[in-house]
Amino acid sequence: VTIGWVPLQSGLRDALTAWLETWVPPEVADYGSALVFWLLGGVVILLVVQVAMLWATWLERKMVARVQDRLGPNRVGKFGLLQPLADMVKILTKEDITPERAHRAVFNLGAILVVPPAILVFAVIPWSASLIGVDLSVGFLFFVAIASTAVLPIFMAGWGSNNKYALLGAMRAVAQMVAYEIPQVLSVVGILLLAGTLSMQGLVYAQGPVTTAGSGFPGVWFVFLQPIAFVIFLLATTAEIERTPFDIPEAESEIIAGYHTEYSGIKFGMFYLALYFATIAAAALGATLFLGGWQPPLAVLGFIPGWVWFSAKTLVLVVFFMWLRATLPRLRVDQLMAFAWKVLVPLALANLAVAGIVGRLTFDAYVSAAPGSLQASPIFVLAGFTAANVVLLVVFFTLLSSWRGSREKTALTFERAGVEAA
Amino acid sequence: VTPAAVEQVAFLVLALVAISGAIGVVTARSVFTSALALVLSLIGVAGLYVLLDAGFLAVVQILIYVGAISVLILFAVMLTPHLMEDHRLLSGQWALGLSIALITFGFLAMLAHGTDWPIASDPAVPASGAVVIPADSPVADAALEIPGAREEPSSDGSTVIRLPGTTERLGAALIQDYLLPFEVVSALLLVALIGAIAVARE
Repeated sequence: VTIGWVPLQSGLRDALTAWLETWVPPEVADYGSALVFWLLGGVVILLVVQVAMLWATWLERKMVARVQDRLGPNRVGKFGLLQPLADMVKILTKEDITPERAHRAVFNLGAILVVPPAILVFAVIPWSASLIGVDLSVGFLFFVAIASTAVLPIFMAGWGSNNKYALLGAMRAVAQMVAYEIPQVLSVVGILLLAGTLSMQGLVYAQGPVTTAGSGFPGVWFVFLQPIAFVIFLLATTAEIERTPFDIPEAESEIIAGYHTEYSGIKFGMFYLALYFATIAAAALGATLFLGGWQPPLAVLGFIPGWVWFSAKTLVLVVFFMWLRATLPRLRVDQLMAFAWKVLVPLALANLAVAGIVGRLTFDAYVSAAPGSLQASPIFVLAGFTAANVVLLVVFFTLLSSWRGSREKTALTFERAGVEAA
Repeated sequence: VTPAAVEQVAFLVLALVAISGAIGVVTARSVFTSALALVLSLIGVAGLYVLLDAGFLAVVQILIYVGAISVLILFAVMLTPHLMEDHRLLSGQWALGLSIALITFGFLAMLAHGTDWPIASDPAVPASGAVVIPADSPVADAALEIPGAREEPSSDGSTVIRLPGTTERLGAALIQDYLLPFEVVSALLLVALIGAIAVARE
C-alpha cells in the first residue's frame, strides 16, 4: 500500500544526480543528490510537524473550552481557525526579557535546545511503508534516547533563570521524567520481545494485515495483545511529556510556571512548541507501537494510503491526551513518584513476563500449526493473551489491595517519624 | 569524495565536539557548566560509536550517559552547598593534580600501546549489519562462529549464511557466551539499588 513515493523519489533523485554529473565528478554528484534529499526530507518532516503543532494548539483550546462549557477561540477566522497564526505573530513580537542575574548563555541555550529532541524523534517515525526518515535497526531505542535528552535543556532553563521557582520546577520535571522513563520503556519491552526487532518499521509490520511474507506474525495490533502495556505506556508517556494530570513541574498554583517562569516572547514560545511537538511525537509513537502504525485495520481497507491511517491514529491519541487534561486534576508530587515506582513498574515487569511466556507459547503454536487448524488463526493468539492478561490483572489487584493495609501502616509510621524529626 | 573521505570528515567533526567538550569540563568556572560541557563530550563520543557501526552502543550511550548519568551529576551539583558559585580555575593543588593526571595518562598510554588488541580475525567477515554471505565463501567458517549466525537456503537454491545485525549479535553474546558475568552484574546492580534505598531511608 504505497502512493508511489519510492519510485517518484528515486526517479527525481536519479534526475538530480544526472544533472549534477554534468558539473562535478559522479561520486560528488551522488553525495550531492543524497544530501539534497536528506535535507528535503528533514524540511518536510519539520513543516508537517510544525503545521500539525499549530492547529493542535487550536484543537486543545477548543476542546478544553467545550469541556468547560465555553466557546474557546472564535474571533480570528471561521471557528477561530486562524487563531494559531495570530498567536504566532503575537509571540514573535512580544518583548524578550532576560533576568538581570540569569546566566545568560545557559538561559538562552535552554530555550534553544528544548526543541531539537522533540523534532529529532520524528526521524524514525514511519508514516507509511515507504514514508520514513530513516528506518534505524535500533529505531525505538533511538526515540527513547533522544527523548531522554529533553531533561537537559529543562535543567539548563531552571538553573540559568536564577529563580527559585524555575529551579524547583526543573528539579520536579527531571525527577518525574527520569522516573517515568522506566515504566514507559518496560511496557514496550514486551512488544519488542513479541516482534523480535527494534526497528520501527519492523514493529509496524509485526502487527497488521500487510505483513512481510512468511514473517510468522498473527497480524494483530499490539494493543489487543498487550492492553495492560498500552495503559502503562499512555500513563507514563503523559508524565514524560508533562501534561495534566502530571504537569507538576509547571503547577501554576504552587511554583508559577516552573522552569519557564522567566521566559517571555519567543523563548517561551520555544517551550510551548516543544510541549506540543512532544505530545504529537508521543501520540505517533503510541500509534506505531500499539495501534498498528500505518497498517489499515483490515486488509480490504488497504486502498487508503498508510499515512492517512497513521495520521488518524495519531490524532486519536493526541485528542486522548487533551481530553485527559480537560478532565483530571493535578496529582501531588509524592503521589506521582509512589505511583510510578509502586504500581507502574511492578505491573510493567509482570506484564513483560506474561508477554515472554504467552508470546512464546502462542506464537510458536501459530507458526507451526497446520493451515486451517485452530492454532493457525489470530483468534487463538488473541485468546491466549486475553486469558493471561485477565489473570495478571486479577492477581495484581488482589495483591495490591491485600498490601494496602500494610502499606498504610508503613505510611503512618513514616508520618510519625517525620513529625518527630520536625 | 569517497565514503572514506566523508567518514574522515565526520570523525574530525565528532572528535572536535568530544575534545572541545572535554576542554570545557576542565576550564569552566562553574561546576554546572562543567557538567554541561561533559554532556557535549559524551554526545561526541556517541557519534564516534555511530562511525564504528555500533549503533546500539551509540544509542545506549545517549540514553544512559546523556539522559541519566548527566542528570545524576547535575542533581549532585545542585544538592551540594557552595558548588553553585563560580570558582577559581586553579586551586592551590594544581601542581599535584597535574602530576597525577600526567602519571595516569602515561600509564594508560603505555597500557594501550603494549596491549595486543584483538582484531577481527578475518577482515572479510562483515563487521556489522544483517548480511548474507554464500556458504562456499572462504570466510564461511569464521562467519559461522559468530553467535546468531545460521545457514539457510536462499531463493536460488544455494545455501547462504545469514549474519545477525550488531544488536542481535550483542544480545546473543550476552545471553550465550557471557551469561554468568551478565547475571553477576545484574545482581550487583540490584544490591547497589537496594543499598541506596536503605541508606536513603536512614
